[in-house]
Amino acid sequence: MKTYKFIFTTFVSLFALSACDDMLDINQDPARISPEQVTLQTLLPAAERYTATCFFGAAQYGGLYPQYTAGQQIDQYTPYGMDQLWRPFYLNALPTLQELIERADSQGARNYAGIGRTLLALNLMMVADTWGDAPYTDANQGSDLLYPCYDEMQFLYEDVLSDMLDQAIEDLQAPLPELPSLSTVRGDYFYGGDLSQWLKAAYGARARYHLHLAEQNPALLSNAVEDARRSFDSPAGEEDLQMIYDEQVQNPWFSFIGNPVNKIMQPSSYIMNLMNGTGYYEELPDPRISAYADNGSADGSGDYIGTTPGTLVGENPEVNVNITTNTFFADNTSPLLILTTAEMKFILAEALFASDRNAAYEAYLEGIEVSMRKVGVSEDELSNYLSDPQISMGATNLALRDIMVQKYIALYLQIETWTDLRRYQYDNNVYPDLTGPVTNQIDPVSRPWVQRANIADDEPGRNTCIPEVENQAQVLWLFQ
Amino acid sequence: MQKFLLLCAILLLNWQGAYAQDRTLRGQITSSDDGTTLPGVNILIKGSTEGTITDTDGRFSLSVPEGPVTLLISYVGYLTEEVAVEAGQTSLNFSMMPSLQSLSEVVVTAFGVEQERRALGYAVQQIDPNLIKETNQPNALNALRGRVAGVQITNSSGAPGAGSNIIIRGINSLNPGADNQPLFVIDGIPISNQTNITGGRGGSNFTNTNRFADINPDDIANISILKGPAASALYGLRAANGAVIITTKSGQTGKARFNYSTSYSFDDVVKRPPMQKKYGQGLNGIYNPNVYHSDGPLIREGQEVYDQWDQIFSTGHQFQNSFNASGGSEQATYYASISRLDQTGVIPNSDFARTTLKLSASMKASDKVTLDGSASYINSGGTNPRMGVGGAGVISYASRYANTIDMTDYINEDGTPVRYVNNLENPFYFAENAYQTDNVERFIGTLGVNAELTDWLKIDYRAGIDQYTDSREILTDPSLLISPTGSISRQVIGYREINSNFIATASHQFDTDWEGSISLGNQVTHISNTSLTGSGNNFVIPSFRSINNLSDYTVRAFPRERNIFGFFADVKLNWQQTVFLNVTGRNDIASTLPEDNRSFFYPSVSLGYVFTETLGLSANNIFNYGKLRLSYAEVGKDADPYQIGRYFETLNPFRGVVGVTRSATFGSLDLRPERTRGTEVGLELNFLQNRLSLDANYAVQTSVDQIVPIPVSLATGYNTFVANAGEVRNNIMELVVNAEIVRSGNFKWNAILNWSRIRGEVISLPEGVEEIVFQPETPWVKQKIREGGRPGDWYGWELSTVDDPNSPFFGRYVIDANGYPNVNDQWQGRALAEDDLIGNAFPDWEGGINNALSYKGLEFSFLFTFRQGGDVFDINRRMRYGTAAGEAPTGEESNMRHKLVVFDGVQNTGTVENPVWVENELPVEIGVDQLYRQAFRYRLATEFNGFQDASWIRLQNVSLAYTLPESVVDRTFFTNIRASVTANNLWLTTPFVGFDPEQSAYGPGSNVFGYVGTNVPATRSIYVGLNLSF
Repeated sequence: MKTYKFIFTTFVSLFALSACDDMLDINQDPARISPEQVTLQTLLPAAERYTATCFFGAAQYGGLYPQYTAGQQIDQYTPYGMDQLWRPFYLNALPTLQELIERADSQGARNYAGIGRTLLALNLMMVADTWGDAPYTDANQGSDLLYPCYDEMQFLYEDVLSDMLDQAIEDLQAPLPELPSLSTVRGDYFYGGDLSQWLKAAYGARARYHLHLAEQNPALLSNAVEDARRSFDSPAGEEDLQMIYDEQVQNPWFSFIGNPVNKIMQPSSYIMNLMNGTGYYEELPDPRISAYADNGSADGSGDYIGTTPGTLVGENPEVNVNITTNTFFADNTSPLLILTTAEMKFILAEALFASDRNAAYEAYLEGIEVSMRKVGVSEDELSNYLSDPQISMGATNLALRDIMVQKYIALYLQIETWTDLRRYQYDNNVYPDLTGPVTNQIDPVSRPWVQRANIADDEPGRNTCIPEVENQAQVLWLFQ
Repeated sequence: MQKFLLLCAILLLNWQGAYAQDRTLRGQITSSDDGTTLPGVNILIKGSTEGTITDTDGRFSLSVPEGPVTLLISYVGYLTEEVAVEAGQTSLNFSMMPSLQSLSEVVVTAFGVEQERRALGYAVQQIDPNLIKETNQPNALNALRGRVAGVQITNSSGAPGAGSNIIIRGINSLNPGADNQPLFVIDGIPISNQTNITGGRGGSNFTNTNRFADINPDDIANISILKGPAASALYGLRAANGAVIITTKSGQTGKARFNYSTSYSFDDVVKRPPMQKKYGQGLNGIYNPNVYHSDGPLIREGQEVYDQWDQIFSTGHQFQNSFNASGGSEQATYYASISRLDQTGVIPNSDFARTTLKLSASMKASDKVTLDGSASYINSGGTNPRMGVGGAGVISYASRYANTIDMTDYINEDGTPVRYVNNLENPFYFAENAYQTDNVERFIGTLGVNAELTDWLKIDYRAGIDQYTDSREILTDPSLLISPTGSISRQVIGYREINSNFIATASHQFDTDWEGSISLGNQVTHISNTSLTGSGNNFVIPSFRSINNLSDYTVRAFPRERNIFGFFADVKLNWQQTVFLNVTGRNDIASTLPEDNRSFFYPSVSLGYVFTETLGLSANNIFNYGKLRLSYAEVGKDADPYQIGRYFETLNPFRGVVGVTRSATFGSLDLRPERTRGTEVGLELNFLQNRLSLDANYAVQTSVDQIVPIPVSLATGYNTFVANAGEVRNNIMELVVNAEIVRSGNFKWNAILNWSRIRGEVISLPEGVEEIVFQPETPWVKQKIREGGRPGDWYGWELSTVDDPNSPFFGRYVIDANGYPNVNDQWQGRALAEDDLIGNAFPDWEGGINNALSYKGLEFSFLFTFRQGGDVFDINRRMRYGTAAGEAPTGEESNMRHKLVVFDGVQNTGTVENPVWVENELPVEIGVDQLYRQAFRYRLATEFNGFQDASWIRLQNVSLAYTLPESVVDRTFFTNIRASVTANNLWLTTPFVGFDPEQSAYGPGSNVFGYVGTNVPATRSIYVGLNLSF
């Protein structure tokens, strides 16, 4: 009996000794932050970086669609290409921005909320322009909604974006929060907390929005004009919404194709021909060309021969251009452009084209100038180019084509141009000599233009609420 | 320990036997095997209870009645014999015949408990330590390949120090990040067999070692593999994938013994992908000095042509030395060993070294209490160049190198690289300038006490610590293309595991028929990991290779901690040594689960029935032993640390500001333990007095409530949601046949066959999830699991064929208007995003046959392993084809290059709805571009989509050893001299074209199988060895 007692007590004491809760309550990750520790000041910089990531991600392969770049299979319209936007938007930008807005709203920090809404609207508009229908109402709900359904593009444009942009502009003009820790915006890469700049950016975002929606409701062109006039107006794009990188966190174009090793795409023959004097502008070399492409010459002189869309890098040995660290766009410290003064000028030019030709012409010229200065073109070269009659044709001779071609050049490597092309349905009267890729994988016979992105690659199999999409030739609501 | 107990018993019994009356019979019992004396042999006078056992020298003395008597002589591992003793006989020397191992073999089961195989109700397989030793494999895990049914061991690469992956009874997790590795236990204490893959799971760039490889193979006395949950239930959640139980050598009472063994190897790469020698550098048939492709003009006569593999591979060497000393008194025994391995690889700048020190001792504190302890120190590590699934790896560069360029001309006098084109690295230069070095310092210590409190109660307590620090440095020189500014990363991985086991066992003989025991135990496990990485780029001074020489830095630390408390009971009952019942129950409390769910219980029950006893067949000459095993068991399993809830993490500093972002993975707040259930039926049959034995096993193992990172729509704001979901079932058939083919005096021939077939099935996936993708490689190669599918299923695009059975063209290939074959029914508008099941990475079945022959001092053994089925994807293929350096399997490719071919198939001249088929007559060019982009996945490759059948028959190991006869040895200082020649991987036949298909691109501990061709290929190794005892 004694022995049994001994065993029993031994066992129990071992149990009591060892099974102490202290050793079990240790499942809190010491290397990560709990939701309570997160602040607006730390969410904002992440949200801004992710916004830049989204804008790069959209243009990374999406830039093949407006034929800025060529030589990679996606420009043959394979079913891929826009996952680089889907991923950072839904996984990073949207959650961070919504977290920021939600927390800012509850803390009365309308300065942060306004910045958050401006950035979210810019991102969401790009997502809508890419996929048309996209999850928003159901999005970012975690385990509460594991199968988010897609909102219709019309709803996103007419309800969500319009409210968001109006609210952003209101927020940015609201009185500052009283708490000293909140009254100054911190962690702002774009404008260092300068709300007047943010207000211009918010107007700029709404100008872009109104211009898009004017496809469905032309009356909105005047709203676009109004907003664009309140937006950026700096001679060399100093006010632009852009992310400037540094050597530690490098410009993504640098990491992607700017570095010396990886050249999976090159400037296309279309953009090169617009700028090298062999295309639309006969005998008129564009002084921006050496900032756009590197043909290997030390001083930027010589031919610039781009890659034909639909062919692969290396197929044509005559191609001599690359996007390298010598260009404006792909050095490791290059800025990544999101919303620019040049775009505002061209929005004005396009929106005023029918109503006020003189103002349109003036905006058109200003757009060229600011775009040139932005990439470092000298005043001499600038005035040289502007003095050519193909450029300064006078207000009466100004054609929509002139505005759109110059906007096309000015918005180099920005996905916004794809929306422009689709607004005009790749019309050759607007975009002279634009031809589809030589290989078209959507349908080699009818050779349709790419109108939208395919459903993101990882959605099927994860989400049970996906709309049917026949192929990327399906025209989105906005462009119908 | 066993020996010690034996000794006690001997002393006790000898004492008893002192009351001789009649006559005293004296003698010595030896083994017929090798003439060694046998201590502890049971000698019983038939028809009485009188008897004795032999002493340490095998001698006995027994008082026997006058007149003739019969003695029953029995000993574990030997055939029981009846020996007649004539009247007046006073001495008897007898030599015992060893029985076939399996019958009365003692096997080591959970907690180091030695049990007779006879008493087990579940499958355990034990490996003869000599088999491990004779392979000379420095990583003992590799020595088990092909020797254990139901166990798949894959050596990840032929690089020095490369880790091996072990999977017992198939993949049972849906989690692409799970490792499915069993628990490793040394002398009763779990140790780490982690593989810290550089870059985490899915990392493929460097060679990493599985930590069991730190163990000196020479120290191992026994390995026993617990395969199913029934066998491993007592080890709890960490053994849910089975357990590998290792017993190390210990000292024996007697004079000190010393053993020294050495071996030296020659390792080379025998199986290599075919490379073409017809076209030189250039593109599209034209010489072009600016491209690295081998698609130029025909090679001129007299032009120098190089074989890429001859150039990059050289002969590697392993030099192993091991010394041990053991001995002891009746009070204490000791074992001490020291070993050293130096290995150089078959590619430049690759090496590995390991030094081990081990000391173990056991001491009798009193008659009832024994203390034992051991301490090991290990220092291991080496250098290995960058490999990898991406293009930047030594093998990848070599496979793309133009055949007209001399690869060995790689460095200029000023130290700068020689590059024949500006976008391809020279493999030699790369190997010397992009590599990882690692250095592991490890300490394993155990302390145990064993007390026999009474004759029916004993307790055993042991505690152990396994602690290591792995310091790694990854260097990428700024002169390399992949890193124009250069980078260095230093990582310090710390691991500490402390285990405490307590067991009290009470046993009781109820009557002559019933015997039983009950054990109660407690196990506490504490595991903490740290990982501190400091990395940076931008070399300040280009030639200075130090972490202090950079301008940008990132530092990251990821500590993890996990504790488990386990309580268990183990009840054993046996009836007449015929029916054995074993019931266990265990309750674990795990820190990684939510408080409400962290305590969980699981039971096991197993039954063994030796039916030949009931049938009275035990003395039958033809069929003497038969046992049926039945078991059911469950094992619970916890989660990884910190899976529950949501977290935010900091981003890299950028322009002086640090942002925070939400982690892409979040976990369910009511996570439950996952469970593996196993049902097992086994049959053991021995024939011809145990000369032929057969062990067959059928098991069904189901893992339910799996803790899976469920891939969710990114629109939820997350990438993965960790929750309980999904079920995977494995059906397992295992067969082991052991045959003593010849047993005549000096000549012996023993053969062991093992065979297994494991078939996994995904019973259910998380709700709403149609598939889980494992590490996609290219758009046309994906490994995914779907409901009803198997783990390891490959999905890809099939060639389109005419699918209308009424068409005369039914089954013919569909050719597009451009003259190339159509894939994936694209002509019908099917998207490429949809794909079909085209194969599976796991073999249909596999096995091994080992033959051991001996004649006097000469021993010869050879092991064939075989594998049927299993498709692997050769990543290297697209490198060597895409650059035209490789030759097609058929040899057809370089003959067809730049010629026009007409693909055999039909074109549709009608519509999709109403196709009109006409014979394809359009000739198309087979250029390299087409070869890679079109024909690669179509016609010229015999295999589809780049998949190949990796069935094989392999001569895994051949060993020839000669032990000098005693007559010679006696005249020397030594007690034993043995010389051997061994070869591993000597011969291989497989339909697979490429390197040896045994490889793992994602390294050991990865859950992704079937990707090969990026690592150093498996080598053929030939060893010469010498073993000296004195």
